[in-house]
Amino acid sequence: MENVELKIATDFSTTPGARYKEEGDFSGEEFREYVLYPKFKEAKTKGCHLIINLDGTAGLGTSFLEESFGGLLRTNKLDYNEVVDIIQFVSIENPDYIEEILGYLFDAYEKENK
Amino acid sequence: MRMKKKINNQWIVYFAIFGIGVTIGDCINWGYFELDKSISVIDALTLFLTVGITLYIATILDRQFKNEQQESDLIVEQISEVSALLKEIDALIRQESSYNEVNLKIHCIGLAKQNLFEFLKKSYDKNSVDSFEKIFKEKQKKVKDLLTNTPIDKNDLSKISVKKGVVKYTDERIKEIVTEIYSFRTELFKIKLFATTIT
Repeated sequence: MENVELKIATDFSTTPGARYKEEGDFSGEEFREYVLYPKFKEAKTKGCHLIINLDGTAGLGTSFLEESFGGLLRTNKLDYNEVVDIIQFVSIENPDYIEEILGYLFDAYEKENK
Repeated sequence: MRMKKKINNQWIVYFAIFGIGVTIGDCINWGYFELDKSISVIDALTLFLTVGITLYIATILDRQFKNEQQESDLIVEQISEVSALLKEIDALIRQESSYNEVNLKIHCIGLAKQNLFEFLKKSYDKNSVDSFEKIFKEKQKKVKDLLTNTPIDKNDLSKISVKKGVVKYTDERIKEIVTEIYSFRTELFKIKLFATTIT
């Protein structure tokens, strides 16, 4: 079974913005709503992984990443274990982004379960 | 590893100097020189060894020293790059700036960090490098959060706001960022000292 792939730089923007749409273009909210969540659903339906490539952008800010991925739990009410099971990351330029995103996912999970 | 290599090199130098001394001592006759057409096996070996060691010192060790110097220069260059980026961020935050531009500076620090620790891990003690890397990541994360983490609560405009891609920081947030940048630069200085200290 072939995995679903998503590269932020080519499937969304090379200059991701801030958190919400009203803050500017290419926000985390916009990314999650129009790209990430649909791709996640596709991967889940197919029973495969969603491979997200983080390379090629001019930077992934804290609020962009937190809203994109933390928002899957907070806004889209997805299950934490399911999300970390289905989504896998690729980042050759800056592998630290992966640890950062997993941290936001876990923080969002903890807040939702308080 | 470096200390071990340097200790081995020192012994080779001592040995070479001793060998040269013995050879010269053999040649010097306090009266006048007498050239002997025959040469003992020991003398021949001593001479051969001394010349060989001298050549070794001149070429291989010199090359090794230059390589180590180059690595050290590359590390210092990466540290300087991070320091320069932090300085640019300091200038950006004091006025309304493009959020993307601030984001890009932090992103570039992340890229420089990859290069920096790649070089450090090749040549320096692993435990020390890992320790520095952990602190670097903490400082980097802290600065990044202060610069790019807009609040989840849309009504919370207390310290950072972004509108149409333009970011504005309150005076309080600017102070926090400047403090963190200063702390970050202090850590960079420690890494530079570590990388350039001769052991």
